[in-house]
Amino acid sequence: MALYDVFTELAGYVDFQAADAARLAEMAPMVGPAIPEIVAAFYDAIESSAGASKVFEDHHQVERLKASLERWLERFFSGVYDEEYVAARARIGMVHVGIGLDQRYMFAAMNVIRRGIDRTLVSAARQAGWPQERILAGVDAVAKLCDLELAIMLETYSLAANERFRVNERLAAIGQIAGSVAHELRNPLATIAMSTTLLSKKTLEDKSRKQADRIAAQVRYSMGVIDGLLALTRDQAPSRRLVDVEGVVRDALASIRPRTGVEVSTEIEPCLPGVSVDPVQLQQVVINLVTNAMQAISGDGRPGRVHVHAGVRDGDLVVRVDDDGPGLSSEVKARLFEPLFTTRLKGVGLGLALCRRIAERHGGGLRATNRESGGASFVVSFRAEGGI
Amino acid sequence: MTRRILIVDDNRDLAECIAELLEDEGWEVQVEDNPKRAARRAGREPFDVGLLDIHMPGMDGIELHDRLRVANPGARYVMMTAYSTDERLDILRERGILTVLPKPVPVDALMAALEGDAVAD
Repeated sequence: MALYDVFTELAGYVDFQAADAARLAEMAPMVGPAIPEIVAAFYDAIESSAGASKVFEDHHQVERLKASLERWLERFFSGVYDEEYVAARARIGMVHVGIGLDQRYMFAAMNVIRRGIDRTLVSAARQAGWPQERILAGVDAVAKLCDLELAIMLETYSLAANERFRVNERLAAIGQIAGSVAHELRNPLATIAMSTTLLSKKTLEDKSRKQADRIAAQVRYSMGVIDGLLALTRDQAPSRRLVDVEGVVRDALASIRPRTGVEVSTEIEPCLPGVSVDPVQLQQVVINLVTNAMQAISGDGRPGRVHVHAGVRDGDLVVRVDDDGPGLSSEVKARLFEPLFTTRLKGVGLGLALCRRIAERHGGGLRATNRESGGASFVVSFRAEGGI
Repeated sequence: MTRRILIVDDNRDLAECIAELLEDEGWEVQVEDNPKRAARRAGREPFDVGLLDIHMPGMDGIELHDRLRVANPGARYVMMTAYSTDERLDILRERGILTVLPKPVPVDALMAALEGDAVAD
């Protein structure tokens, strides 16, 4: 069901009518001045909750989110609740999905907002000399719209969950096909390799030897492609153990072919306290993200830098890969984790989808943002315990 | 003394390639591309080393190994697989087979395995 249909159906259910919309618009001037106060109280409540505050990166992000909640509240009292309104609300919902805020916080959060509005409203309406009945009708309209907002919010979570499920299904199907093709190809390649070895053992004239060497080299290359594909598509539960993160990152970087004009730097917080993750999968994620970043820079044709930062937050391992390339366009951002989506001529477009799956298998996630200074930033988290 | 090897792989081309390579090295080679036939032949023609593919139609290399071992308990067995993560590798280890070669078979590793050197799989 389309989001707007969900909204109108529920509007009927909670009996949200044109009169309610008018009441909300009428109360806008009363609530408007108190909005920053309501927002501040809202964030105070979140910041005192360890679970909910975990999703925030830094102070700047909180400031941006506060400004966005203020706009959200202004529009709440706009009196116009059309298709465009629902679409805008859904976009905000997707931001919450994107930063990984668990949906169970939605109910509590909406409740904090509602109480904030009610308190402001009641005292302002009393001062304005509104009769009790009119105040109650206003509070009632707020309650109805809050319920509808919550419904849209939760609907975006369910849309995102369905999308994720679909992506993982698709990855699994691609993995199966790739796996069986790869195994089928290994046998003939094995024969070619062995035949070439036999050929090379014979006394060959120089030209023929050159050809034999070329065949052998191409077979090795093909095997590398197959091995890479199999490694990418393997869906295994993480095999966690205590990991030397610095060593894993170092090995990952060593296995990447350097590119001229791209400088890679690392910053690994010292003495990462016993992070337990799957070292092979962690390495795979780092290789993928750094390779992507390098390619984004090279594709832009300018020299640039990739910076890998690893640290621990609330016991979780967080690895961030920043680049100063062109950044992500909104179109690319929307399709970033779609299997087989790629902006490159070379490459199959599975890397990010698989990185995200690995992070999720560790109970964490992968997030992509554009940096304010330009370029893209990928943040992957591996939850210390409780992976699925 | 001539060393005898039995190679069983449903990929006959590969088996014959390996055979040629080993004949050059002085081995006496039997090649079989049908595991069931190989199992039936087992008692009649003795060998020192069995080189068996794991994934074969009709009977896999592990079952073939078990059958061959009854007739040839003294032989050494080396397995080959095109699957990099074979869940059956553990079964092989339980049977004391530590050498599993990947496909394409690296010639040096094959030679080392046949000479009885320890080879990491």
